[in-house]
Order: sequence, then structure tokens, then C-alpha cells
Amino acid sequence: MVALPCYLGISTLLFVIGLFGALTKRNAIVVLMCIELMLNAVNINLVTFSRFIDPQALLGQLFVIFTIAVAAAEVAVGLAIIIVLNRYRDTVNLDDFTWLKG
Amino acid sequence: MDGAQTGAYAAFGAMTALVIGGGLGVVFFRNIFYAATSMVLCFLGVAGIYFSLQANFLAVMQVLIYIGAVAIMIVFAIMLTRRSQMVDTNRFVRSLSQLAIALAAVTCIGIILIELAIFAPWQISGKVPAPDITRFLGEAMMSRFAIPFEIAAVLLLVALIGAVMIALEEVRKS
Repeated sequence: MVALPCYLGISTLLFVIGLFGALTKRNAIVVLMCIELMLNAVNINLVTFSRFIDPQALLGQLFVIFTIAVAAAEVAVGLAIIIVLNRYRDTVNLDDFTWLKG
Repeated sequence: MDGAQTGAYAAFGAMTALVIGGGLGVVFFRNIFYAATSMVLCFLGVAGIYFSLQANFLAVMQVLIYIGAVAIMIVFAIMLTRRSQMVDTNRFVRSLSQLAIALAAVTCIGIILIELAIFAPWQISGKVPAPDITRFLGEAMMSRFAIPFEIAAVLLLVALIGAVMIALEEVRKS
């Protein structure tokens, strides 16, 4: 059995990659993809804790099921918003969306 | 026993390569369609990690939901928003200072998290998980976690109807 810190290390790396992408990409769809990567990293953490610290009650795995449901809802709404923005402005470049700037 | 340990480590290394490689691909491919494909690879690696943690139900859910639904939805969105050609559709921000700040912040967070993972006093339990995890999860969701389960169902319904309404706006006006 691989030790607990190895799994946490993988999930940290994935989270950091996703965060870097979400902060620095210009395409709205890629930012959404990077947020999915971060959610997956969190899920790895939850499953790891469920396996190593609390293997009988499996609360972490139950939590992951709800996280996946919320993530699916988030992707649906996010992509709908991106498609509408693309219809109005004919671009998905985040630098062009500055309507809320005074 | 030793062979099993080696096998576990080899599988873990392969999964790590898949997850990290896929994640890096999402960020560094210039073509957005390649980025979506490498995101699928990353999700496959995460499913493998769930398998190695004996979370079989979650591994199958990961493949079904993330690869079957989320990735397809993202590919559809790429198709609906694309312009003349695919090359150079996945660029970084222009300003170097923004890149540098993001890199510094991300490095700090990564170092803190990895240090926590290594040095925190985890209370590792020696018990083995229940043999029939899927049955256990199903019974828990129908008894003790029935209310969160229903709330998640309502949330999904509301979000999907909302997504359809948002995307339909133009058709309704005309």
C-alpha cells in the first residue's frame, strides 16, 4: 500500500497546476477545465482520507459523490454562460469581458 | 508480498504520470482541443487512483460522469465557440508580471500544502474497508444522508433548467 503523503502530494500537484492555469489562461473554457482539475484534486484528498483515516464509515467517499454532483451542475451553468457571452461578443477571451469595470 | 508492494508502487507511478501529465497538458497545449483531450487522460488517471484506494464505485462514477459527461460537454462548448481555426486558441495572459505573480502564489501554496501533507501527524487507522462498499454507500445515501441526497438532486435539476434558460435567451426574444 502506497503511503498517505504520496497521495496527498499528487493531489497537491494537480491542485497547483489547476490553480496556475485558472489564474493565467485567457480562454474561458480552459479556465473552467482548470477549475475541474482543482475539484478533482480535492476529491483525491477526500478519498485518501476516507481510506487511510476512516476506512469503516466512508464519509469521505460520500462527500465526493456530492462534490461530483455539484461540479457537474457548475460545468453546465458555466458553459451556458460562456456560450451566451460568445454570442454577444463573439469571443471567449476573458480580457474582453470588462463590463463590470467602472 | 514484496512483489505486490512493487506492483502497487508501479501502478501508483503510472497513475501519477497520467494525472500530472494530463494536468500539465491542459495548461501548456496551445491547441484547446488537445487540452481537452489531455484533461480526459488526467480524469482517467484520477479514476485509477480511486481504484488503488479501493473506492471502486467512485472510480466508475469518475469515468461515467467526468469522461462521459463533463468532457463531452466541454468539447461541445469548444465546438460552439470556436472561430476559424484551432491553432493558438489556448494562450496565456499577455503581461509577464501577472504570470510571475501567479507562479509565485502557486509555488507558495504548493510548498505549504506539501509540507502539511508530510509533517502533519495523521492518525492512520489500520482497519480494512468494508468488503461491499457500493452497497454501503447506497444504504447510507438512502437512510442517514437522505436529505443531502435530495438536496443534490434538486440542485442538479435547478442548475440544468437554469443552464437551458440562459442559453436559450436569444431564441425567446426573436
